[in-house]
Amino acid sequence: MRPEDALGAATDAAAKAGHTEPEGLSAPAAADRATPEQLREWALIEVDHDLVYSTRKLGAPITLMKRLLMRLLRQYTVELEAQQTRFNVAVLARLREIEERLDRAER
Amino acid sequence: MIHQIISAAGPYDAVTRQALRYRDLFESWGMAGGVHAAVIEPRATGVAPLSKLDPAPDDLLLFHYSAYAPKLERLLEAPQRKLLVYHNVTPARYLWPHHPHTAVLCELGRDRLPRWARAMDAACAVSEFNAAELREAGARHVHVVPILFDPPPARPPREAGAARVLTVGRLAPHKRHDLVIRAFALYQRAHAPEAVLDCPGEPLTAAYRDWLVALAERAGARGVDLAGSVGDAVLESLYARAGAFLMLSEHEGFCVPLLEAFAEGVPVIARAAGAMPDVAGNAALWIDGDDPGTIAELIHLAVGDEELRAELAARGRARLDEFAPERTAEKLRAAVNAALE
Repeated sequence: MRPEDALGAATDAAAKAGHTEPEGLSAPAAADRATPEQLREWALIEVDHDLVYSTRKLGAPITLMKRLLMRLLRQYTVELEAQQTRFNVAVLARLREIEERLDRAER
Repeated sequence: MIHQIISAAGPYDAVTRQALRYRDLFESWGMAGGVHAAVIEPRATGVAPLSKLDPAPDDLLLFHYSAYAPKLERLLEAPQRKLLVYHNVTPARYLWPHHPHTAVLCELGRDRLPRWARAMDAACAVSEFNAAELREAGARHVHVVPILFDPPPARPPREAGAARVLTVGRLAPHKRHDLVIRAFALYQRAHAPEAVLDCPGEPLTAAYRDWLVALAERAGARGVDLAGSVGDAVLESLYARAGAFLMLSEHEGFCVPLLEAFAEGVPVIARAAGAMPDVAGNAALWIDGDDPGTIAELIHLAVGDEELRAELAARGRARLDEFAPERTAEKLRAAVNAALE
């Protein structure tokens, strides 16, 4: 078979085979603008501690040390996250309110 | 002397490797300066900190641009002649849900490109796809200088039958490993129960890797190996054992793995996106949709059809000639001369 004919042959074979997949395997499409659901999810600041690590030669003990430091500073980081989340949630609420007013005005 | 500057250096980073390869070439021209980076990963070698950069007035500063680089921006005012090499920046829309920090760097990287493009004496892009973006950003007289690629000695086309599928690249959303895994699961179920899928590449995050592992389980795919970063020897052995190479990425500024697959005589199935059509030409089986069933059948053909494999291998060798290092070196020399004129 020539390469130019392969896609057509594969498309025909796939139709004939009737491949089926389990539900829900599709990845969410990348969008230029965040959806309202994504904004709500992102508003809640919660940093994954697995993102803190070291790639040095002795990375494992350094990673442990970094995570220990984070635990010791937890009071500070929790407060930081809470204050940022408070701001984000307030802005989102205000945004929703403005959108509703705009909708009413356009009707 | 030509001093190269990159924003961040890593041991497996494609831009870092390209800068080091350029340095070897500049050395053969008697023009080699250092490779400097604002951030250097501990495992990276051959790269000096930006603070050590001390160019003479007649030296050339060569900037590799692939992300937001605030620490390099002061050099835009430097009196030396400047050359930009644009490797492209991943659109942030792929990264916002998974790694906000990288997404911010990419968003700002694209946003700041016009400033960089206009501040240079000459610019080059590693593909025509990237050159179009550079022109849109305001660069004039853009040279297309492909990635400097040294192919290993070409292997003869191998016999059909190795049901081992390979994809190479960072585990990141735009690379579409999710679709690779789904297509492989269908191929495995319908045609090759013993097939294996190798996906070497550093994950964007541990969570994204875990998501891919869970997806493979839900899709019913067995033998999926997400090995993480691997060295050159391991990568070479993966190509040598592969029956087909799959690249379904939605955004590529060049895509070196296509050339690596051609060098190893592995049939390539790829998405016609980004710079990939520029690189692979007529030497790949192109897909333009997201149907995993069709891709599964293409894998079956690529692995098992001798005539198809031989033709793709011959075309792959011809593509390698297009990207021969001597040709690329000539193009780079022309871009350097333009920057120095």
